[in-house]
Amino acid sequence: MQMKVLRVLAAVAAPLTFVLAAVTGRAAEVPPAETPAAGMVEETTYPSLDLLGFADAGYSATDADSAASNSGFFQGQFVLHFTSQLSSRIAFFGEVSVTSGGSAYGDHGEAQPTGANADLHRSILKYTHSDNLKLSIGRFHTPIGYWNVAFHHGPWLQTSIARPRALDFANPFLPLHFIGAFAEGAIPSKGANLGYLVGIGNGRGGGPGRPDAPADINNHRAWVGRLSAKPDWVRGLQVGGSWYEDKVQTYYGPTRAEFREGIGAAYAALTREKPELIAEYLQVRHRRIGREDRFVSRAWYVQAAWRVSSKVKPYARWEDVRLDAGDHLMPGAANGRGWLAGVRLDASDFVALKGEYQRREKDAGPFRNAVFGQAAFTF
Amino acid sequence: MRALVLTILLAPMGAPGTAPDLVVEPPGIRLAIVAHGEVPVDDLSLAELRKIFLGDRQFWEGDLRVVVLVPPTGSSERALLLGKVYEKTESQYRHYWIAKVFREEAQSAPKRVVSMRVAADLVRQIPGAISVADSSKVPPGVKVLRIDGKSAADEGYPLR
Repeated sequence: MQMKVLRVLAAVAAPLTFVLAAVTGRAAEVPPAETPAAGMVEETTYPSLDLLGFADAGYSATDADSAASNSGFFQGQFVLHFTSQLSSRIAFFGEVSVTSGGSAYGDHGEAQPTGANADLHRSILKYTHSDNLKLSIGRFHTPIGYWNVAFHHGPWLQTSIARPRALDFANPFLPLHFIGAFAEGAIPSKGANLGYLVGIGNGRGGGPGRPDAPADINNHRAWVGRLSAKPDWVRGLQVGGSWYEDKVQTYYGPTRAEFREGIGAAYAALTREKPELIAEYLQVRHRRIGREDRFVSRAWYVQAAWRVSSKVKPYARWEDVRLDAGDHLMPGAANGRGWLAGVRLDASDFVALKGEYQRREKDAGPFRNAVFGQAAFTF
Repeated sequence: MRALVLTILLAPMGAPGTAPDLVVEPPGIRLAIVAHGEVPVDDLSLAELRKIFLGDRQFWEGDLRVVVLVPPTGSSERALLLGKVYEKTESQYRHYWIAKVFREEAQSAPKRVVSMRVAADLVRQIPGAISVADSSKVPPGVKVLRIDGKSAADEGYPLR
């Protein structure tokens, strides 16, 4: 962002050298009679690459009793986000992260990672036909619910330090990424501002125990659909719901079995600063094909924040993850209730300092306490 | 803690049409919405105008793309635009566009012009362009759009 601003500022240092870069591609298509005055608008050149970064680091301490729960500093995510206009209607989005091993803000602050993983999280080619139809192909953040798409690898974007437990990067509760193709757009609806999204792609590569989808495990594609609304009459409000379905194969005890996986989500997010409210409900169903075995796991969270000044925003979140005890398909998934509270201090337009207290239970065990401090920024 | 939680949960949600408390009081001018002559509308609702400036509507009609040009930092026009249309502070405006680009909903933030004179020149030249101007200084050669059926001189004009 800053690079882009600097570039624009440099370009507009004198009015006659103003650069209108990559807005629509129309500049190059303007008929000669309407060609802007010489030097006023520079022809758009493709590709036009913009780079945006996110990073964070912090400190954690916990009373959890495990070898991995020593207090200490942690390196969070380092994420580079690429945007490149390839023509007036075609664009590329990419996202690469270098993330410390494990979850930096996971259960009870247990992460004291020493390694780092580099990963390609998004690589998307998008064709924009109109406001009503945009087509894309590549690797995406799975559009299940709200948080996974709105924040994902942008810790500076989210108010809290920790992600909701069901959406933690180390938690296989949801397939967080999706390789496939999407169609999305606006549905003519006047003030309701409805939007749709449908996609088809690979399911979880390793079955429901895997949070990611590098390659499908069978020849049955997963599909996902989402409907959303941003009504004019409550500005800043987004409500929506999504459904994800796949057929997965995995080991069920000693035998290989096929399951139908369905994931439903509903959310409401009021993104005004006074207040900011986000609520999301997730349900993961597994049904063994040809048998009566059915498992339903649920998760929800409610997050509230209130900006008390231009710099300070306190927040709190309540959350619960209830795994079906009989479901063997999500080994290692987080389970339990918890809450957290914290304060976000916006030290500058692009730097946030956050302090957070977490109290969470894990697998019906005792509640554990943890404190986190984080500096998150975009560059 | 309990008091804080109750404060957050019971706080008023903010009625439609009211700006968040953090928005800077806009200066005493009326903001005209100016567009390229080929833009195929003469009148926009305030809600539709917000969609355009927020990047939620990116096409006018057919192939004609919306090209939003925002005034320079520190100008009265920008202050009024942020207060009445975006309902955001400068910080919130920057955060909004970073998040929007991150979510692949836009390629970039609107282009910021170096002066209102440049904005007028670009609006005249670029098909699909839309920007703002002090209603008492509307440049020649641009189309002035009515908002909610009202022009800037009318009583009840929303961008004042």
